[in-house]
Amino acid sequence: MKNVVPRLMLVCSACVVIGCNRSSTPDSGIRIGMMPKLVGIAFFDAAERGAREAADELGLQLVYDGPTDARSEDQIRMLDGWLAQGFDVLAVAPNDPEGISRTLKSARDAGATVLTWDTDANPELSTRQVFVNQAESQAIAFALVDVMAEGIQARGEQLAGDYLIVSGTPTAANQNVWMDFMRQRIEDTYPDMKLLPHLIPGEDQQKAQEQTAEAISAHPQLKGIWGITTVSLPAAAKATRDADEADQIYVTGVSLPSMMREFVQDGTVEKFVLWDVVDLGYLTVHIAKRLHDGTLEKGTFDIGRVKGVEVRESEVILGTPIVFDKSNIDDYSF
Amino acid sequence: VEETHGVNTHDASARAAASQLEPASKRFDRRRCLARLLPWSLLALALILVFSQVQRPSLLMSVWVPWAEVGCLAIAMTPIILVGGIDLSVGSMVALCGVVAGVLHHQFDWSIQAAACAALFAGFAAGGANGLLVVAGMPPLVATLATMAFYRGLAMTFSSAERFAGFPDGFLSWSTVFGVPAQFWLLGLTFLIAVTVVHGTRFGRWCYAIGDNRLAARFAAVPDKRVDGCLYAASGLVAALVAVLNMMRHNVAIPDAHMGVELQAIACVVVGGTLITGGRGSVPRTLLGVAVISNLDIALQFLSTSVPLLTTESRLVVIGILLITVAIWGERMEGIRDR
Repeated sequence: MKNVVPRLMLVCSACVVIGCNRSSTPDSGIRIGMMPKLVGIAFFDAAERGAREAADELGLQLVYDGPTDARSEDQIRMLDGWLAQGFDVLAVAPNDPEGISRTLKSARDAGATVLTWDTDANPELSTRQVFVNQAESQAIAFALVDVMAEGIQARGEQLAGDYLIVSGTPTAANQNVWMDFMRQRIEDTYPDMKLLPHLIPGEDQQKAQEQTAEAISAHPQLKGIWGITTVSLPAAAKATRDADEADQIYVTGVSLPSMMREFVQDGTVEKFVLWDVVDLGYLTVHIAKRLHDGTLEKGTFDIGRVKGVEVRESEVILGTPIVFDKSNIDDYSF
Repeated sequence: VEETHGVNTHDASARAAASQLEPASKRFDRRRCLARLLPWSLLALALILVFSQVQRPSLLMSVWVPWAEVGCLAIAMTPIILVGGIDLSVGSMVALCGVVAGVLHHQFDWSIQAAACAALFAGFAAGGANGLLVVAGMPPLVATLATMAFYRGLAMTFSSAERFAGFPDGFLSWSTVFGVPAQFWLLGLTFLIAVTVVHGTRFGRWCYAIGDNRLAARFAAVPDKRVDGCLYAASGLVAALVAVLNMMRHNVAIPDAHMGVELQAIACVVVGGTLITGGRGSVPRTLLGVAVISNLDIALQFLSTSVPLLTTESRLVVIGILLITVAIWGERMEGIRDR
């Protein structure tokens, strides 16, 4: 028995070594590491579909992976690993724009092409080359506020009352920027809306639902809830429906059509905002390739199958946000 | 024999007993060699895998940095486990110390040097509080489980659950010293100190004696409570140092960072071959444990980019199986059950 075990081990290790050598045969194309905020949620699964499509078109080797929790330190670990493995391009959706920046800087120093997508890093500290943005942050934020205001007025009610934003992680740059623009829009255009302190349940649907339910019972004057991550909007909708408050509270925000279908059909949510997530993943890989080849130019182009992409100095804009409602929600596959 | 040298008995009788055991201890040595074979071969395999995948070798350092942090904590954990204790609060202490420095620097405008010193003091105090609880008679598992939650809660409260980003360049420039990340210097330093203290001083022999049989040690006039207190305080201090170095490296102090790092540290100690019940083990072995676990993890992460089966989740399964194998193997080969 004692002699068997070491031999078995040797055989196993030999197999692993052989296996790994075979799999690491040098590939001619460039290797792209694309990292979402976290894996295992529908939004980033949809983005992966688009990214793989683009990688197949361009003949690139794409690794799409990220942490299981939306944590900056896990992202840094994986990025350092990719970098040591010699990845040519890193495309990251950072959970913390500051915490990731020194890692991205070291990636740039090591000669990798670095871009961000979905949400930005600190542009100066990280020296990332381009941020692939889903839409103008201001446009998303204003659309969110306008959908809410118009929806409530269409119900024939006054805007005055309490409003709540359910965000994700406290450090997510995209949500924080949207909230700034939302506050600005509310101050300028709808001063009757009174914002409660926003919730930060993390990218966790269960937690988001619990915290929203608590807020609903704590604030009887609550008029509207924005769920501004793809996870927190269905959570907010569910909490509102469970509390039987869908008539009193207008719920909207950012999420995927596939996650929101049931709430739109039963009327808990009338409208919500998003962009084409599959296209976002697709575009990111295309931009990564062009950036790496040095062929990315400023202007407005059709890139791959995506029409009218606006390329700026250090930002690429996918398009304008889409407002989903009963009429168009079934047209989208993500 | 390693495990007898800690016991504080008269030399003559110990030597006599040892000579009677001569044939048995020879057999023992062969088994010990076998016991060492598995972790070393795993380490060799992992290193082969890592180096076969690396294309920018100079950046391997930064891949190891988080594990160097775990290593520092594991080395501070080793004597605690040797005396039969455990410290589950190290991850929370790292977060707390980072937050203390962040709050003092950002909200109270302390200089970063003063804030870092305060963080070190906070770590020492937090560790000392652990020590006091244990000395007061709480089981270490319960005491540090409680402070794990308590320190994490403090960190979240002090920081209002926000992270602090942006420290002076002069402070950040210390993140590498002579081209090597500061974490490795700290690892070397804690290792040297721990080896000296645990294996070269009376204090170290006390640790073994306490872990072997606390009551007997107490009868032999070993100040077991004082030893406990010192060890937990030292663990807190190391946690604070890790926190400060982490801030230097990433330019940010995060209240919910370093979660679960205590379990990684404990795993490193145990895989190294230190008995979780105390009395047997050594600091260099812990370093071996760190090397094995870290390189296995890194190798699997590297492989996962070309082997689609190795997702983040299934990697944990592989690591778990390997660690259980190492633990069972070590235990059987060292014949603990035979004794």
